[in-house]
Amino acid sequence: MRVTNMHTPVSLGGVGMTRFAADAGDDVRTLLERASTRALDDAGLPPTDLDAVVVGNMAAEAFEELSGLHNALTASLGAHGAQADRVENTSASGASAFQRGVQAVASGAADTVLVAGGERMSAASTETATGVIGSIVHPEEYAHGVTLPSFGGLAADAYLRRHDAPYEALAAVSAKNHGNGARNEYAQFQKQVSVDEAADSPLVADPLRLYDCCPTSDGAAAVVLHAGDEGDVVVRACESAVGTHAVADRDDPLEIASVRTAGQRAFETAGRQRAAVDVACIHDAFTVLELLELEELGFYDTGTAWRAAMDGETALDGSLPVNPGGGLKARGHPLGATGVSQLVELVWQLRGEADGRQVACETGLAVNVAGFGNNAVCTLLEVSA
Amino acid sequence: MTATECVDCGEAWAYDRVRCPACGSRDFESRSLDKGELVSATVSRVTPPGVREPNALGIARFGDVQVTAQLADDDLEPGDDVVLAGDYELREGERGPRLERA
Repeated sequence: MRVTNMHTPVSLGGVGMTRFAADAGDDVRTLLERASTRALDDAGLPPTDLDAVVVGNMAAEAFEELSGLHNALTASLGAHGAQADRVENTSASGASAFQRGVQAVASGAADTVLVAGGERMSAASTETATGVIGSIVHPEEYAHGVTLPSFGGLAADAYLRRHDAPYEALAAVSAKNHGNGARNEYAQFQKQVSVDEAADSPLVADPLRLYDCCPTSDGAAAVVLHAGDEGDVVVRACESAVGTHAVADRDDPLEIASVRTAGQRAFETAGRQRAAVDVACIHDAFTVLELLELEELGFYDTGTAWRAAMDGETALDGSLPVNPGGGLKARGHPLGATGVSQLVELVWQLRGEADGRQVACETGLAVNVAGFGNNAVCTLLEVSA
Repeated sequence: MTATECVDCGEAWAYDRVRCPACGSRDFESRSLDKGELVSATVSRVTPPGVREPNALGIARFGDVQVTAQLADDDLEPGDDVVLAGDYELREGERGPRLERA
């Protein structure tokens, strides 16, 4: 297995994000500028220090008829002469952009890099947005009207059935993530949702209900990377892998090989065991995905994560707090921003700055997933030694 | 709809691809999908333009090949025997087979 050789240590010098919202009222360029300015201020760096700018965005052309976001952002910040480009990896565009930034620093190609992820989904009609997101699925699955929530429904049906789990196990994930979002001023939804409320919400793709599914969102998040290990937080690993494109091409509909492989590579690169992870940000586009990904990453045996969720093991005061910022479910899911926002949350947690939702931690993991497991990026961050 | 089998190594798959995922060969032949078993089912309640609403969907296993497809019968359940058959309007302007009770 080939993993990144971290020749040069990579630190996270600054982070920032916008509050995620159903309609942020600004275009994605403005959201990217706002998040980037906050990250640069947090790092205490002038934009002229940037060697590179990497933007993560899935579909600004389709959502807002905009392109060239990376050049617009870099010029607006005044980082003249920096190298800049954009990374597209559907709903994992943010973490893929981060991976490019990490690789640039680790290889010595850049000393200081700004990574900014953003998306404005509200600018398009629901029909356009559905069409853009639906185009991720394999054409032959698309012909049957398959949507991402219906993949979630198929996986949830198989998971609950095979492991003899009650629907309330999924609702427990939703209630937990909403509870965490209620403590995060950057979250799109800042309200508690009970297991009963989640279980009574309308069906979207049986057995998944409204509160099992993440919303569409506007928002941006940014981080500043630099060479060296003198920062508060260091990057121990950032690895990715593709899985199958068609979900039916998997031997088992509950298998997400991309997450498993990216996780294995990240732990290998970092030289860490699962038990070292104190906090995790998991790609819960649908509640069932939080359970499946925790199992694929090796935190729980197959078919047991649902019980851990019901027992509170993944709550803020549990043995492995998962999605302390509210996850995609409550923080929101502006596609290209999500992977970066997971890392912003981990940095706040690792620095001890997550007011109201702080967990005890020295090592954090994030996994950002493209499509329904087409591709996954897994990152391990640690408090600097 | 048919499945595809690699002539060189016997690997089989449902959806078009340019190379065998197991050995990299480009020498394929098609294989019929006979009786399968429904593995998982859902009813999609919010569907894209041009697609029926609600849209009952399932994943069915045909030996070593799996397919995601619309269900012809709402009362099909995982474990039931199914065939991929018939000629239905899957979405506006696109026709094909659904999973029917075997």
